Amino acid sequence: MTAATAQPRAGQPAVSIRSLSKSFTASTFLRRKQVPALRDIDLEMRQGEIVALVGESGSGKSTLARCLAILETPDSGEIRVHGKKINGLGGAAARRYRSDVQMIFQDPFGSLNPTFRVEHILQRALALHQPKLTSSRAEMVRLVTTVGLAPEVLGSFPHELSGGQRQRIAIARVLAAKPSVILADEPTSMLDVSVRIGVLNLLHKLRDEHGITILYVTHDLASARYLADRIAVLHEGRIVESGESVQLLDSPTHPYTRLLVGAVPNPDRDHSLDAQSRAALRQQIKDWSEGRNLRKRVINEEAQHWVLSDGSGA
Amino acid sequence: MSVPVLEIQDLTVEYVSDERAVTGADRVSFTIHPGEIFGLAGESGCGKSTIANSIMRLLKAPAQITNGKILFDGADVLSMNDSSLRSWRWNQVAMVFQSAMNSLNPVTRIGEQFIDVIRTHRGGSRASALQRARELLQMVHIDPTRLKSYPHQLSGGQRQRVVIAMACALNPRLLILDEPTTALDVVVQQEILEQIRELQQELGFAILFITHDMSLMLELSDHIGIMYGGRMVELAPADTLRHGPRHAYTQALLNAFPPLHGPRVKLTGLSEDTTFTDIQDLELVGDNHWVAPARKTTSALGESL
Repeated sequence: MTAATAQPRAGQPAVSIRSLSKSFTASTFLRRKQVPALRDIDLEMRQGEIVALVGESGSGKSTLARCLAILETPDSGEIRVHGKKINGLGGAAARRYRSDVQMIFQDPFGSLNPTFRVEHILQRALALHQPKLTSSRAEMVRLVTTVGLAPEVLGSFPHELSGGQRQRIAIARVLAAKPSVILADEPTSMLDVSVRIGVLNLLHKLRDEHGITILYVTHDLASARYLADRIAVLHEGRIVESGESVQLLDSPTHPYTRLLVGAVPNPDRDHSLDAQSRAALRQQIKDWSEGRNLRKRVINEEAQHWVLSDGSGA
Repeated sequence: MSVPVLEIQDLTVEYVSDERAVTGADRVSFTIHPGEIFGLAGESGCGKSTIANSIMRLLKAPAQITNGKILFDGADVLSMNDSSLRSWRWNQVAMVFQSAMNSLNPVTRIGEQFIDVIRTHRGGSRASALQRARELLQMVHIDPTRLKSYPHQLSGGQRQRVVIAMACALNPRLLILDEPTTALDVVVQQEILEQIRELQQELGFAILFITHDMSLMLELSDHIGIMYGGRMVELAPADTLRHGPRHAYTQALLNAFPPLHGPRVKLTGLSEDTTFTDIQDLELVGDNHWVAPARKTTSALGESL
């Protein structure tokens, strides 16, 4: 834990996002228009909780993670991490914040410098985030062991490692900063299917053993259910449904969630959505998101399962 | 049993450089029957795309087919000369590549590109080619007026559907789909697969479907081949493979997909440093179910998870 962040107190959420909005400007030949990427997002994460953000490309899930990493500046709303407001953080305070909230990127082939050995890559992170450390070698061995690799990898170059091993090194580098929150933006989508589960298991272990809070951004519902305690479904910049993972996917309520769940390939399924039911769901999604009086309707109190629907109607 | 559309026997492909040769595909054999969907699965570098490219005779140096036969309707593909190859491709067998949506010419209207394909291979008038293009677009549920559009005016999913429609333009007997949906969102993926199935029922072609997504493969294919390190390690009907995979690699691959329903159990997948060596030839272990024995080894960079 670094000086920038207060020690997490019991009951205080690790991350708390209040009515966060962000839009981008799209310019065409004749006009400029504002495209909303995030609309009025509320999200709370307890210390040690894994929350998955699920949605299609363009739904705003990466933008939300980037706002948390202060790589984007939100238009309005507030983000608090361990009770401390992060809006407008800059300079040294931002640097301290960033060692507490670390990001894992999608592409382990692009995020490790190919000209240096793993050793050097981790050494740099340690020098930056733990300058007081005396024996960095021992710490590096500890880091690579934590992510499930043998100490011998320290002498390798990134190109000598497989995709899965590289992503593990990227995670070890993140751990060098001793973060309390990790933002994982599609950490497995570039990896071979057979090693994806291993990386998800690793993230799970980091939560169990180090109590790290993890925001898992993905488009893969099945992996979200596997890893996360809670899932938030994003559609056009709004969280349209959220709840405990298993409960949410067992009784998806918002038409958009139902569309997503119905589209996941599943050989055990008795009937898949046909074009007609998809069109019907699309129409419902449109009706639901155009509702004038959108509010959260609780479906299952215990599982924190709620859906965003029109409060004025039925 | 009917004459297979495609028969591959002992196909070996090597990438030869001055110092050494790397084997991309090693004595691979399988057959595809008319109207069948054959799935080829495995991870990156296992040789799936090498197989697809050798069927189309698209391999370029340093890749060489050093052994084996490819028979299409009983005719030897490897001995075809340039002109017969040219008339065979697209007419008889068409291929949709992984990033096919980027394979459209960005400066030409969609319609022109259809006309180009149809007239090059079949001749005929512009008007009749355009008429065929309209029918094809309707088959993949795109408004025929989009023939006037440029590729950038269509979404990724639409472009992918245009490419698939174009591949079907000449009623091929075999369609090769190399990871046709990897770059797309799940809902779009579902739509595309549905359209492929519809087209297949309408036109009756066989499909060689290549992917690394096992759940997708199990849902779509009739017959599945699993490749590892250039070798075929298991070959079986989809149902057999789903309920009783015999090879340790296939089991790991199937175990790498978390389910969407039911209890949450811990999965293992394949640990990073497990490799299979000494992969033997396929042996018959059950009804139409073939497995290749192999040795499983875990290397020194041990996995502690």
